[in-house]
Amino acid sequence: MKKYFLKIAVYLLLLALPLTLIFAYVQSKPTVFSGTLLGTIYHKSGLLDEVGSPRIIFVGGSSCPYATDCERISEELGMPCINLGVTSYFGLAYYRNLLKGHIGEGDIIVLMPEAAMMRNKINYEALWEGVENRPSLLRAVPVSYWKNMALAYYKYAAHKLDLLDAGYGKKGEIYSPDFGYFGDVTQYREAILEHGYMTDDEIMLNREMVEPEFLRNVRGLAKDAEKAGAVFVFAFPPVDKLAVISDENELAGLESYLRDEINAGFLNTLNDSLMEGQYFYNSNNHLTTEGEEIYTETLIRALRSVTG
Amino acid sequence: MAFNSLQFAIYLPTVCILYFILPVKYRNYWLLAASYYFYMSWNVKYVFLILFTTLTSYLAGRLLGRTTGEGRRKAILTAGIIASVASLFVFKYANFVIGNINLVMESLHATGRIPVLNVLLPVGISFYTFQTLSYVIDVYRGKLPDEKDFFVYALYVSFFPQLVAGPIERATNLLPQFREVHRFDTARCSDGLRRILVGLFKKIVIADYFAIYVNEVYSRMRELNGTAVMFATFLFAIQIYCDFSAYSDIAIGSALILGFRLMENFRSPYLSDSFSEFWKRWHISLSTWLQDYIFVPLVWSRWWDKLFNRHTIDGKKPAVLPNLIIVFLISGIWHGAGWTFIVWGLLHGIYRVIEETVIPKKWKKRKNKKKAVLWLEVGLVFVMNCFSLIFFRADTIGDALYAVSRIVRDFDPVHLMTYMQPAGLEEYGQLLWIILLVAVLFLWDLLNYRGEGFEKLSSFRPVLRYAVYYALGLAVVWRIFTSMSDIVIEFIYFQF
Repeated sequence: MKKYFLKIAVYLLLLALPLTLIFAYVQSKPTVFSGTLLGTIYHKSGLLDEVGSPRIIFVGGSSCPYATDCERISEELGMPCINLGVTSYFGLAYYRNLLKGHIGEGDIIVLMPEAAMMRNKINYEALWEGVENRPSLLRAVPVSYWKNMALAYYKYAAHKLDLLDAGYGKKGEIYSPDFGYFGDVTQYREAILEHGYMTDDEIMLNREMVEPEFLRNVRGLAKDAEKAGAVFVFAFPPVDKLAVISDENELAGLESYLRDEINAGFLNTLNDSLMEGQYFYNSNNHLTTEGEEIYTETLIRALRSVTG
Repeated sequence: MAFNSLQFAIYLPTVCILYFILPVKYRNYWLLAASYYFYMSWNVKYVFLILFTTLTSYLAGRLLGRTTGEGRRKAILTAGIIASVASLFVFKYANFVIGNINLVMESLHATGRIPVLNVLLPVGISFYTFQTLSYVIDVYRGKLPDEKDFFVYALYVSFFPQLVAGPIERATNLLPQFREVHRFDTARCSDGLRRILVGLFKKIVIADYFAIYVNEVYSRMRELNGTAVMFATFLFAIQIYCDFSAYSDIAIGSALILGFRLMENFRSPYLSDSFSEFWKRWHISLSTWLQDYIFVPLVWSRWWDKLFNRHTIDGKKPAVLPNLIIVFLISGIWHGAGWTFIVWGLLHGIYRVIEETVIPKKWKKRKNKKKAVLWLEVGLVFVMNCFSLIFFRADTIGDALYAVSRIVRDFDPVHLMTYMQPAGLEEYGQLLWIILLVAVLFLWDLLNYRGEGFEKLSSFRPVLRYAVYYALGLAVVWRIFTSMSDIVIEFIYFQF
């Protein structure tokens, strides 16, 4: 009997062998996405160790680095600021794991989730591109992601090998937009959208889009913060008003639902976060430098009430 | 929980290990609990429906076992059948009937509409309903005694390997097996694992891959050339065969590991040289069910005879032609509540009638046909089957007719690649891969023509045998990891 089960185990191991070899080969190659928006997660997660508490930590999607001027916030509030947001498609569970053990007393965790994050839409290939072969980032991948991460590996690996063939990797980057030390985008940005918004990315905001899994993670993050003696607050990220296709009732429904479900302070209202098209740079969530100034100003005013 | 999901990969070993660890007297209870969990993983609410069908058919069986008067027995049989069929009708056919009545009323400009029912089609309802019907009828016919133990009977109805997509088991085969003591047997386990491996290969490597092109073409039929539709229909014929027979393979394999023998459901159907043979090789459990419980009773029914069977062929034998049409219509309706399925069934009925009336008996019985002629017949049956599958796959009759007209109008197989390009078939490598998979399937069907494929496979020299297992396993794993999808593609027959 033992011999029989051993044979089955050997068969399964032999099936896994080619995949393991491919994984080992691709993982041994240098990183190629480290200079991209997704690759900034490595630097940002490193800031959690480098910058001591108390500090302000922004968590969310790509709107975070485009909407918050960390240097200004630090100056105005007298607290260092870290912008952990990279993309909504990493999912809040991943950010929560990254933060685990790093939240210190007096920290202020600001959650700025975009619609995709509330929908709990996760792009596993994007996450591979973010974490690549960095053990500290791989460790933070939630167990619930593992299956899909494994399924997305082939696509990531093929993409990475293509880029390596094309000569990337030696320089360690594909492109390098101007990210500041604190993880926000510091390059000067003007509105470049032809119609004032991305016409192929209409945004629907209503209470039905909020996934229970997202709410579970919000509550979990709030609890993590509370345990560590930190403050957890919620902010609606900027959204291009022109791209929103929900009516007033739906918007009000979403806001009241989130306020009911999330036991936290809110830094702004959903209406405040809907901004004119002229303030958006290259997507319906990415602000221009001017838009960033306005949004940051709102946040600073709200954060003052939190910091006292 | 689909057979091709990670959950099932955990579920099956867990069920098997606990089954063999538990004392014999608890094993059926464990299987019953596991089977209900399996069913509830789709929709918890519908457990009440399967319970209702189980309970009513169980009671009908018990009453039939105790009652002797023929009139009473008939009344109990009728009540048992109605109870089972009623829930099938409500959940599967009511909205179809209501929709058609409303259409008629609309065309007559009549006021008022019947509201449609807000129900979802419960997974496997057609399969387990037919299983309960066969039990009640068999008890009535005295083919088997009524089952006294409710839990054993409930297990017969819900036994997880064949619960949601067959094979439609007969109580005469399955019920006695629940009384047997099954010990873990390595040879039997290997047989089961082999079948599961072949099933996973057919489903994940062939069916799901072909489905990409089939779905693309059929969803954009009106934008694409008829040649693409024709090619997609050919692929669909392979897809549906691999998809459904894969389910049966995994079901039979899973049951085999536990020590249960389920009936064969497919035996190289596309190598049939007639439709009569095709239906002895395709969905065998359904076709034998229809034969035993619909066709034969109709042929021998006196009142039915008065209606139809007077129309005899050359005045010699009782006519079976109207009954053939009826049986295939029922087969079509069984598959789905839609006109496309009815037409599909009707077409197969017509094929069979043509076979019975046009082809001389001598030719049918001739053993020494030339190989070329035989292959020609096989090809013709396959092509005619593909034609019927256009109706099976299309969403509406209009779509199916449009597809047929486009195929006839645009027929240009030389430029297949050009026409398939918009559907995603962009490189010759993809076409080569499709050809390779069809060739592998063809070889397998040749090997399995007499239903001995697995025995033959296990009689290969060890090196060759393990190479085949490894290649199949690797193809499955490779396809899972390269399909770039976290979505488990459900088996087509789940919708029936």
